[in-house]
Amino acid sequence: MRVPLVFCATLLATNVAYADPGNTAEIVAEPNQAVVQVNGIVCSFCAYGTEKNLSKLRFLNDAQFGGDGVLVDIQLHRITLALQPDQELDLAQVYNAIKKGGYDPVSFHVNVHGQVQKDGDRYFLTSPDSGQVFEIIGDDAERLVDRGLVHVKGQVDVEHAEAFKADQPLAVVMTSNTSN
Amino acid sequence: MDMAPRWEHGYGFQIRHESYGSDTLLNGDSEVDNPFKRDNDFNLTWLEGIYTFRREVRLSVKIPYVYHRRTVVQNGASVQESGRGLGDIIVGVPLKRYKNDAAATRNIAFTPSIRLPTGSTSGDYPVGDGSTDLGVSFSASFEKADLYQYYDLFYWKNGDGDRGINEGDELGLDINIGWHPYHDNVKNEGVFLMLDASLRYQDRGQNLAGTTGGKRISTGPVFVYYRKGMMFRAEYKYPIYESLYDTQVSRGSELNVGIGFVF
Repeated sequence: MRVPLVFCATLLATNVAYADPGNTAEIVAEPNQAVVQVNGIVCSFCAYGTEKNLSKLRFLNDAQFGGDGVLVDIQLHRITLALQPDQELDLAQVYNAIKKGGYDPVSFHVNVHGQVQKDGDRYFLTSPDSGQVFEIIGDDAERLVDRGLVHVKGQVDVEHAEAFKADQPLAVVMTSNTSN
Repeated sequence: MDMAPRWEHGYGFQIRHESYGSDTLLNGDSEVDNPFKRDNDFNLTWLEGIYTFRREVRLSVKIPYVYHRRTVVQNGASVQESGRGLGDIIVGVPLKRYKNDAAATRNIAFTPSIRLPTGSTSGDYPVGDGSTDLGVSFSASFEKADLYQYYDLFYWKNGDGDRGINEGDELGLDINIGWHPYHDNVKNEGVFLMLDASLRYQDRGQNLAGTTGGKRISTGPVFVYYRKGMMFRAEYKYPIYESLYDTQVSRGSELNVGIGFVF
């Protein structure tokens, strides 16, 4: 009896002390995709409810990723969403679907497309397909003004995603951009 | 694994067949002659359901259908006894606490349970014992993309049953260590291979055939295949140590096969 108990105690102690930083490779969303880094998503059977919740969102392109527009990657701990370009992205709904599924989103990554205009000291990108407006945050944002259609890759803060309201611009911290 | 369905208002059910039996007669931990060919053949088919109110609170129900047979000695001769029917239903309330890390998830759980005397106590080999039993379990689970560990320490306080059947209280520890060699993200399909180890101690008790209770350690492989919300599990356990009170038939090796669905 003693040997198995010692073995279990050792394994449990190992688990308590365990602190894997996870996959830290750069996350880049492709056009018409959003990528969410999610803590704890290591088992797709356990994440089936999250995938089911997400697949009900009207702005997903369910022609991709096996027919529901959702790809759960348990090795990279990420969820990739295929988006319909003519639909507005509501990250609050994505956040809630993942939380109700039992997991913790830690970062959101998007690739948005449109024209950038300046309003005061802020920069806004308007999608020509969906009409959705994104606020672009970054030192290079001014260089995008009046350059026509551009692609902006960036990250959305978790707290902002959680509190996002559909009638407000989604704030994207730019990581890179390309002209169309 | 044990973390599904962890989503709010998720539910699932599983049909599982469990069988074990032996014709090995043990006195303590020593095999003894079995001139009357005493044996035991036990089959249960479980219908198990679970509902998740929120990931910390679940409700589980386990309904067994029992069909078993044994050979006992009465008046110096071998006698066959059997029974079948609805067994004792178990209701549990798993209370879990989760922690999600960057590349792992873990939970601890406390589960109070009650085993209801729904099984009949009539017949020469009754499927129920007529007692209301109370159980408590403490479990911990840890999972990475390629590794799974599960520990469950439980205790059943078995009440006094009908017709002099008094099963002893039971203390157990279950350990699953699993490896995840295959997973396809697009198909949401994969395989787990695990090693299960089970330790049991049951106080001395009594059923209609004589003394019950003893100690047992068994181990064996577990194979799990899943695809989307479906999971198939097959498990074989072999006793590596068994010591029984007085002289009893060994429990023998165990086979568990089940298929479950979550929604």
